[in-house]
Amino acid sequence: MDDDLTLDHMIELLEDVKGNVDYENCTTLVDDRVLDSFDILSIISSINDEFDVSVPAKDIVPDNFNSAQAMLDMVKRLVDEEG
Amino acid sequence: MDLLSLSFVLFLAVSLAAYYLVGRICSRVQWLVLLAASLAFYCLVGRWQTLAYMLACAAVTWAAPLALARMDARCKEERAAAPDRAARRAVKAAWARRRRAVLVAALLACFGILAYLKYWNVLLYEVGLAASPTSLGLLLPLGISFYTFQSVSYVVDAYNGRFEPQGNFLKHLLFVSWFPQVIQGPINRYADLGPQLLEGHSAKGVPVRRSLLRFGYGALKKYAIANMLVGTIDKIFSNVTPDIPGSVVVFGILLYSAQQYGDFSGGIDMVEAASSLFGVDMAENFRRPYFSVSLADFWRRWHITLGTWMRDYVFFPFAVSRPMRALGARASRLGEHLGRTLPACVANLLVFLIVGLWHGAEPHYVAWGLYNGVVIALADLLAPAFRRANAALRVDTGSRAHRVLCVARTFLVVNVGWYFDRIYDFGDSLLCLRNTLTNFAPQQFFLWLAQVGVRDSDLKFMVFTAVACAFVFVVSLLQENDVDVDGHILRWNCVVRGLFYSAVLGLIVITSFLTQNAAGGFMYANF
Repeated sequence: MDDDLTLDHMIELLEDVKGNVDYENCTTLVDDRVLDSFDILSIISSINDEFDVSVPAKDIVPDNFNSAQAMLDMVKRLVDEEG
Repeated sequence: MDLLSLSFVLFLAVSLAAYYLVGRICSRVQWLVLLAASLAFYCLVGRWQTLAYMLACAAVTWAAPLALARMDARCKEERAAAPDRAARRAVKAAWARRRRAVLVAALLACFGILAYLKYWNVLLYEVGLAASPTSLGLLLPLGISFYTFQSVSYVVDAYNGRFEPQGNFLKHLLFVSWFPQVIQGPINRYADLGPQLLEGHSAKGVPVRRSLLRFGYGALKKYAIANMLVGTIDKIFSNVTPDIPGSVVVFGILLYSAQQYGDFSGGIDMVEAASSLFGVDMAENFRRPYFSVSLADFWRRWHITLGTWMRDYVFFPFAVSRPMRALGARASRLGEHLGRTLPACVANLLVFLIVGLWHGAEPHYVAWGLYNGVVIALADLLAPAFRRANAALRVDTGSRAHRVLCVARTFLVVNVGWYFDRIYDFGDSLLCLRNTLTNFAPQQFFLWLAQVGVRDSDLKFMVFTAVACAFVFVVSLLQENDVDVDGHILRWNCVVRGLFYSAVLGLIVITSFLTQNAAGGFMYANF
């Protein structure tokens, strides 16, 4: 599982949900409204499918979704907590 | 106390003088001036008898997070003493149940007070157990929905461990009662507002000129637009009969569109400006909503703090709940898009049902909320079909013309919603919609207006409103294009600035004299 938890994998997942976004460099995905609530839900659904981890409502805050790296960090933390 | 009155100017001047004077002596207790001003404002503007409700809400939302923090500490102690992993898990689960019970109790207390004061009488009236929606004589506290929602967000955020709870009750009371927000919001978050209220400020660095400019802009919207239109709108929709011409209905709804925006966003501009004079920036509540390209976009620009509150505390928790995830999984068998969209659509319906009820318990508000939820849900569900249609028709969705068309379409959709919001009887809303489509009768327009008591002078004086609307439109258009309008005005030479201020002030003074009999309060003050 941990082998799958890479930034490239996360970016690939994000591009499936919403293309034409600079996920490698953008750190204000939510603050600049690049991602809306609907996108966030799709991302959560994909994270659930790909990494087999549930994102609880309390973790759905802008800081956790503002960049691909932040999302990856959140997923790693959730995987650790569930393990 | 009207926001554009000598008494408010005096109140503000005395509060500011005391605030910055105390700041020079001891900045650590400066916040006490804000608390004193807020409680005094609440008693002067609202009814002092209702202060107890706000104090009760503050007490509950202050005590609950402290209890949660103590429970967290106890949980840590017991986990540290537990012999193995299974025991640690059992301890954590037991304390999680207790924490949830405290959260639920706090929410029930806050929403219980709100429900009793705001909905109980209406509910009894609807089922025939009360003579009128106000026959119980319950006093509705000023801004009860706003301070309740704000306080609840504090409890939920503390429950989720977003910050250390405030130990000082008076400091928490200031967060709940901060006077610029208490009339009609915005619904602030503790993490953003709390530290600003409690830290010391000096008069240096406060953007006085920008604040005054924003206060004036808000006053222009409130007095030259909203107050000028409210009487005519009342006359039109207080006299709905089966033969009301559609042209009159459309006129009334368009006026309401301007009145509601002028009243709510104008009032917000004024209180945001008042707050910033103390060095306290509150959350933004409007971002030029009539330039939205979809209804979902409109709700991200209109009453923003209510939208984000609903998103964070209703939409996301509900949409990622186990039943909704199961619904998404089942729906995905019918298609990936449906699987991902359906939970969000159901969550949106719930959100807008609550938004409708937040405005009032009457059926027309529920219909208005559901209308918004259904339109947004359908737009999400049918998004792939729209994309395919655009591709087949070779529509350039990135063009300026397409954007203008989307803005116009959204304006139309929003205005259909206003039928259910403004026309206080659900049957009348449907009747007006029907007549808009089937009995437009423009030839009866002036005759009907005269019959319902709209005078020629009312229509002639609307030229002032038209000027103000044109001004707001130009400013909004420039802001949409990232132009710092305030900055430009403040850089004009003093002669041009003087002429400009005189013209705006003249418009506000003239329209405030013309509308002396109009309701001085704000539409959202009793929400």
